Amino acid sequence: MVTDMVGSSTNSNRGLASLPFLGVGLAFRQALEQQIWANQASVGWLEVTAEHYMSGLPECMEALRKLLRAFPVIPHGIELSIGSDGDLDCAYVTSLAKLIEEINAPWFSDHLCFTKAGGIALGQLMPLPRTRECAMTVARKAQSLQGEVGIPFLLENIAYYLDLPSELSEAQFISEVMEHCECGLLLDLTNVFINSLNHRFDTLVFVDSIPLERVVQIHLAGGEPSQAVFMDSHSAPVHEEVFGLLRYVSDRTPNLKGISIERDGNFPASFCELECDLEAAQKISAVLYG
Amino acid sequence: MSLQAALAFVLANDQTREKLRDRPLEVQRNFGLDDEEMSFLLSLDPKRLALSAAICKGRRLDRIRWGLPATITALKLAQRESLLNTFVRASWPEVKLGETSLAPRECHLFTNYLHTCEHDEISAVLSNLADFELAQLDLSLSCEASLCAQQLREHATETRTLINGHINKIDSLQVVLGKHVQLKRFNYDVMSLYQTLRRGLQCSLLKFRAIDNYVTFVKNLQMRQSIVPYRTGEILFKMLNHCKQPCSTAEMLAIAGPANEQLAIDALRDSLHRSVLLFLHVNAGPTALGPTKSRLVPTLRLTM
Repeated sequence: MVTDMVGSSTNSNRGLASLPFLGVGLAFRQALEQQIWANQASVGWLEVTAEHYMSGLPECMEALRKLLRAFPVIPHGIELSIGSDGDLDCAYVTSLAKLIEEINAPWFSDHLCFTKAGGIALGQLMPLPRTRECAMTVARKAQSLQGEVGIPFLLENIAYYLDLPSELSEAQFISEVMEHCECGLLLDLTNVFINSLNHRFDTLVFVDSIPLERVVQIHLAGGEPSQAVFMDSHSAPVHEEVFGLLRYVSDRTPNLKGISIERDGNFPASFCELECDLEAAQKISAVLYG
Repeated sequence: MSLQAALAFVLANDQTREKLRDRPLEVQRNFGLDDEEMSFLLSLDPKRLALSAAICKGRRLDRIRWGLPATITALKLAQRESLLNTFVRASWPEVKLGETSLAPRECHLFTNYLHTCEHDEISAVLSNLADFELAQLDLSLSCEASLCAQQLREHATETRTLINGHINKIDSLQVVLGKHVQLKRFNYDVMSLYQTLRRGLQCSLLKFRAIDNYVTFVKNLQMRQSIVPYRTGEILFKMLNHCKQPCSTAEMLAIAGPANEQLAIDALRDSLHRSVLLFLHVNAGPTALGPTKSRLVPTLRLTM
């Protein structure tokens, strides 16, 4: 069902403002499980990869319920492919909605990208052509999904290496999408930082150009330089520049409810490294949220 | 096709990308792109395009490494890692509605690809090993198998009591192979190879001789490694295979033949705690099972 597409900032902001404040959390990964349980007090909440639980495998659901008893949990998807030509995958949306109901999550998120096209499953987040038409289409689908699932849906800005020649800048494109739906934003500050290095733009100009009042969640991670580009590898501590950006946006994001740190590789042997990142993010956000 | 579809092909398929560089008109014609769309594609930075394509391929390889780790190690040992690159260059996974993870399908596609590459003994061992790992992967991701294994766990005490109560009636039970079990036949001793590789030991693939090899994979949620492979004899394999549909233990023993009857009974008894067969009814006969499936409750675990 497609709900009315009003793009009313006031309506959406009111909805986002009432969401619970979760503080600083971690993206849950199997490799970090033991460390998370051993350092439960340092982790405010967990972000889980939605697709890991959407098949309903009983042992996975049991593990999820164990997490739910100890932490607030937010589902974060990677395979919605909201930017693919055509309609959303109904079977996928049904499984996602079922999972969200099980989790009783206050919001959910996925990426502003496409991962499938022309019958090919690319399995990688790819940037969209930044046109007004594309922004409208994505906004319509996002609004429809949010209506169907019944809780706020956040779109995340991705890291991209291939820049598609477009009529809009990335910040304009994000703003255009937000203008035409009542969804929220998951602002990945590491992606902003990495894209600024790879595509040479000013991070502050970028964040000042997007509707920061729609930001509900922030992602932080560490990337790595490779031969030609800086990679969004989630394999290192959060960069100081990214914490700098967090400081900058913190008092400009009135509806910020959660910050999560992502780590997908080069997992540290002890929790100290992640704890440093968590504490640094907590200190910055505590100034504003107490 | 749309511009987005063309872009996906350019990213997934090296040949399309090469055509875009060398014969753009052919790409334009093949994808039915107008001039504006074509100039968009041609304006993409070739280096970044190649980088993005490489990232997509890297992700595909990661998924195969995740699902078939021992096969990847064996490919390295046999110096045939290039098969991985050839595979990701020659194919791509198609979109499947409702799919939540690409990894199992990539592993299936790669295993199928290995089957097509069987031209010597080493490649045959490699493709057997991939089959072995794939059986474990499929079972580990099967909800049906988990539900069955879960029921067995929940009814463990009850099961033990029933086993003890009916142990002397082992030739007159109605049984069915649990949904948490998979039977596979291999042409090489890949179970030994798999275990060697899992222990991180170096070995020659040719050491693992060509021999008919039967393995029973059992999902057991109480084990850390939830899928347990059991080496199975040929006779027992045939007996278990017969139980994919409900049958009587008398029928199973008949498969073993009179000469092997005691061995077969011992095999049934010997594996009482391996949770392979599900008990349905005592005093088996053609009508003992009844018409409904509601009796397929795993109340007694039997044997292999």
